[in-house]
Amino acid sequence: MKKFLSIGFVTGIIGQIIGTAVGIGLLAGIRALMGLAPKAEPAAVLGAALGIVGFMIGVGGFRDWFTWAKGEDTFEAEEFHDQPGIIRYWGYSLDHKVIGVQYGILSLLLMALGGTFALIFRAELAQTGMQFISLDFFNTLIGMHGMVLIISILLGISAMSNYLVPLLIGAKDMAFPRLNAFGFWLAVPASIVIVAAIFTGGFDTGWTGYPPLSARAPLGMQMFFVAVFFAGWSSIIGALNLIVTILRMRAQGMNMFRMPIFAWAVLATSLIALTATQLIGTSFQMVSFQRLFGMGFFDPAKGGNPLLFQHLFWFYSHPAVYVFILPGLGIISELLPVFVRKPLFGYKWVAMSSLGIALVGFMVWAHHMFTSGMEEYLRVPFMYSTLLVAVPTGIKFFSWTATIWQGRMRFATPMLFTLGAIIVFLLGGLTGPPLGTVATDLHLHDTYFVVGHFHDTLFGGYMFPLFAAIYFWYPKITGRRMNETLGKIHFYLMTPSFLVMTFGQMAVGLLGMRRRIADYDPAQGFQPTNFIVTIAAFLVALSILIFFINLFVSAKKGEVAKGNIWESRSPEWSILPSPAPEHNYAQPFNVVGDPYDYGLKGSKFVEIAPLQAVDQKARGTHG
Amino acid sequence: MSDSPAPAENKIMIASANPLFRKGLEKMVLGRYGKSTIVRATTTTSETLELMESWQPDLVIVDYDDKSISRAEFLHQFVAGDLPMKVMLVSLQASGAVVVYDRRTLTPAQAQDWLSTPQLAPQTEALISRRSFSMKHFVFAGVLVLVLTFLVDLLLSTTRLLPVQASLQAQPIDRLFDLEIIAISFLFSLIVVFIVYSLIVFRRKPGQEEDGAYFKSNNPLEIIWTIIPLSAVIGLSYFGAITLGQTRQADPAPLEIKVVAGQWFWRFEYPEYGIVSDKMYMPVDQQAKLTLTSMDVIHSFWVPEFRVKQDLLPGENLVRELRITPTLIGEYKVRCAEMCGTSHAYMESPVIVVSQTDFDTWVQGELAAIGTDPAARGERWASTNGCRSCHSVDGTTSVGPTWRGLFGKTVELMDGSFVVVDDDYLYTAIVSPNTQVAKDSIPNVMPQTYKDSLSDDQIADIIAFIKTLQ
Amino acid sequence: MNTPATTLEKRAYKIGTARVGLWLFFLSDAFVFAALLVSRFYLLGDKRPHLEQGLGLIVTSVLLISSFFMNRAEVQISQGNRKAFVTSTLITMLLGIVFLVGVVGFEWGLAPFGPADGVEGAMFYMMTGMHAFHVLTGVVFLFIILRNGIKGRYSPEKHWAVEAAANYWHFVDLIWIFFYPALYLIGTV
Repeated sequence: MKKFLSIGFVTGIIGQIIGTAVGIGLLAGIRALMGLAPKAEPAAVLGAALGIVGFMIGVGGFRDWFTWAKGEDTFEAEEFHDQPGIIRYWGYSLDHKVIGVQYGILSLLLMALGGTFALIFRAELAQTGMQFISLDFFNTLIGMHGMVLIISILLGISAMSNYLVPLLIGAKDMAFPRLNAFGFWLAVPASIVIVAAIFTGGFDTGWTGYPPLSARAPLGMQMFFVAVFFAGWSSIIGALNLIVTILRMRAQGMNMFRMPIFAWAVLATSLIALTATQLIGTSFQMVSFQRLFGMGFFDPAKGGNPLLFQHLFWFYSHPAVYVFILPGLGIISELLPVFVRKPLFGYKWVAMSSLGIALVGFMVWAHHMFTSGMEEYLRVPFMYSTLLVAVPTGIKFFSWTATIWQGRMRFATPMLFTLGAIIVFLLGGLTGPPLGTVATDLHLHDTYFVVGHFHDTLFGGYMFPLFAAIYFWYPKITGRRMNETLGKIHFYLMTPSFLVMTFGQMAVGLLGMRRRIADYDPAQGFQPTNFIVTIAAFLVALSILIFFINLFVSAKKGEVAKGNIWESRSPEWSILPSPAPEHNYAQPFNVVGDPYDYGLKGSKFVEIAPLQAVDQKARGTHG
Repeated sequence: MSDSPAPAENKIMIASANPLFRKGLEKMVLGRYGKSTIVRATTTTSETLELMESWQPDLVIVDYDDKSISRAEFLHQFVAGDLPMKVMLVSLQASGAVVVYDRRTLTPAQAQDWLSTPQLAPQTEALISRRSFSMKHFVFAGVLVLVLTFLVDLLLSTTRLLPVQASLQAQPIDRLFDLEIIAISFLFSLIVVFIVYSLIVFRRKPGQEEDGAYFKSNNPLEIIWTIIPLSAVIGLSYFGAITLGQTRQADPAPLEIKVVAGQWFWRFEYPEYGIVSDKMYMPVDQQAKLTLTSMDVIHSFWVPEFRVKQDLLPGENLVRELRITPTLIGEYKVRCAEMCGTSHAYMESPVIVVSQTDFDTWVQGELAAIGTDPAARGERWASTNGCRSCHSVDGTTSVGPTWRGLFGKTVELMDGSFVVVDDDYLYTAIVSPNTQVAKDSIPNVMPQTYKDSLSDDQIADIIAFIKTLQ
Repeated sequence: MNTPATTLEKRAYKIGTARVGLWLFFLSDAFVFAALLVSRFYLLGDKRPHLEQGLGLIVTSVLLISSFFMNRAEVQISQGNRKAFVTSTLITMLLGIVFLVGVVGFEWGLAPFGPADGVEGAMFYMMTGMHAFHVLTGVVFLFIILRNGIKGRYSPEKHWAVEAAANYWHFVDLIWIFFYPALYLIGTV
């Protein structure tokens, strides 16, 4: 029992229960003392928020900072040692590799959950009429599917970035290991709160939460707001840590243009996540306060304007989609050279294109509002800026094509998913301009065409690269390879099914099927396509199930991975054993060449520093 | 860096396997630059590279003809470094020609030059032959791109992707779609053909373990494939702006229709005629100017055959406008295109495009219907104010109680009392629903705004209508 | 191996790293206030809320003066003057509390509108409320460095916490320098 109670996750949950009770009790108590009738909503909101704080206290998130506040010293993060075995993944670890895996597990869990929501409502949509669920439950499910998967994506990105960046740049860990752990654990109670939304009345707005509808939605809406607020902080904290790590912790000789390209992708992503995320928090806070205190930001009866919400919300949520895809595009650039055995074409341009996408991404948000009734003069300028994003994105595509051109490709599973990512993301990107051009968007906005477009971009920019990354680095994490046959089945089942799904969605969208509808008129002729889309969705889910089985079974039974199994020039493969050891590089390395000079005989990227360079080691790793 | 010597000294490195060459150069250099110079010599490629890296000489003199010093590897190391360094290429064979390059200013063309003249080490040989080899592939692939573009565009333009075109505004929009489809077909083909071509033609043959072709940058190419897409997107945007303008052309005397949306119904008011209807009749070939407003949350007006869409916002200062000129007689539907709550999926109304004569006939008919019978009027108000989206008239269970058999029924209230549904009960139920909530119903679902949006006469008409439903 | 020189170098590098982190945090937090500022102008346009100008001037002065003492405190500890550091920090803290009392106690009480009274009320209370929350957390940080300062934990070489708290205090003051004109000065009543 004592051992059970020493697990961070367990004490965290206890903390969350206590915090929730305190929050509810406080408000209920104060109101009772004042002789007022109890009101559920403020108590629930305070309960949810304090519950998350309680979890963080329980898991030990504040322990060391409290010690420092008292003026005492703590151990250095480098001296931290985890308990061996699986148990360390359930506790407050300061090791970036453990935290990376923790992020990954939570991400995959939420992926399964959000995906299951989709299977439920897709089953409902396979035929006209309502067969299994109520209208309100349908509306809650689509909103949950959206936001749960968005959180899953943010966590998956944190998983990849946290695990890989220190290894790729030659650091022992992240710049702020305690902050790293804090950022991860914030996402756990936040995920619990968002699931609670289903059980507190749900919400009918979809993941975008537009007022005035969100101002009058059931209590589940507030759970949604609280959860996203704290999940957003997790994202911001992670981004801050990554930027500092990349700027300050690179190995000797690794100037910015000799970093692995994934680090550039993470840098661009983190700059967006650090700044723009605050705006979804602020916009949700404003709706929440409108509900709680009657503050009429978005209420026309009080002089407010619902369009303000949309501006604030999309100012984050558009750059957010670049957060979702930039790391995955970085994975594509990172893996292609390894499997085609030639350099990444135009490294500097590719690196700059990530920053370019991030920058332009801040200037396009109102393309989500072309039909909103916003100021007319905004529509054309935002169309120009929106289409402009195709330029840095095109640079990446052309670079990938040139990298592949005349390459001697090795078709292992990670490469299959990388190729799949390129093709699927291409389709997603090509369906962007009809949406970005105002006149055609007037027809397409809020239809299934949009749904098809963003599923293509999200799978191409995130899901496929995520799978590629997992198949590629799984041996580095566990010391064993994932099963190639199952991997190929996963790929060959998922890719055509997914394409059928999204083509079907775009087809009915063009023909007039709106988004977020629980039912559709049989006279419109959408049923056959919807039926096919549902089948396709289930096949995608099946392929992912196969992936999960592979993931679990390979941990014990996978082929042992000895040495540099991919013949990668990257330091985590060329120097480290598998699994990667605690604190990564026992001896620092020097960068003596370019990262992607495959095909250049005798060239090396990194070399273990000679023993004379003792004073450099003492300085700690820096660039 | 490790220990660094006094900066004032010149560090010169001579790379040559030929001892006479080396000695001769050393003598010349020391004579030239004197005491402030340190000279070191190397004879093999690896020695050269190692010393270059660890010693960072200011100048490297390379024997251009020496086959044991690989140009490619030297060049690679030379351009990779940060600190200032010059290289002097001395060739005895090429009649004593000497070229000096500065690391910071070396251009790709110069580097190519350097690599491709007579020495012809095996690696460069392969490079050259691959270059002419590639040209043929570019041409083949290019042709395939054009062919696939044509095929994809053919497929997409012959498939009926869009609903029938039923408005004037749809025409420029559909033309823009056609243009976008061409662009999509081309770009798709461009990337897919080159990738698939390379995967097949340059595939690894069994037993082949060699790496791919070594090339990693080409700035002019990068600039080209930045400028061309940039121009294309500016062009597309410009064309898009023109198209948008075309959809917003305003006729001087349009038919005025005020569209009011609420959860979960549409109401159409024709101020010119004093008509309120739950169906939107439109005369063909005449522009209608829709004034759009919402009673509660954001909705969106959309008839797919007309293409254009516009959100409806609540608030008197947020009224919006949409102009539609229907061109095809027929029956369509307007369906709400912005998530608005429980019955969003079912929020629809008929949109009926008729000839001008038929439209006038309809108007006359509406004016007559409003006239005499309170129950008929009541039925009209019930349809145009959202009552029918929650109350059925035929006994079907819905969000609110059915009106069939409602009048005269005995109802148990939340406080346990029993009342008979009469005129007063119905009046209260409409204007102040929360004051008499029935036992098995949920408060706050029935909107509380009808006391403002319906006149007492209209309410009386509705009650009269309910009374007819037994 | 770790000589005293290399340990110092290593620590200096770490503080430099922490400094980058702190400024990135300010960048991020600034976006919250930028969003509120934009909202104020979007909703209120060229109108401003009915507020007590005298009171506004007083609380603003209090905050600006507190920043002066904050800077003094940081300079004093960097020169090793522990007693003066403690005094200055205490004054800063007290002025911060006076600011909070002035805004949340008086301004909020005296305002002719509540948070539910139109967009005027909504924006005023949200902006001043979010800012006051940051001042409050600033006061908490000041309490921490005050206590640690009294215990003698800071020296000219080792006072990163003071630098961080001081910069945070200046950041919060800077926000008010934007909020004060936006709420009290710009536009017509």
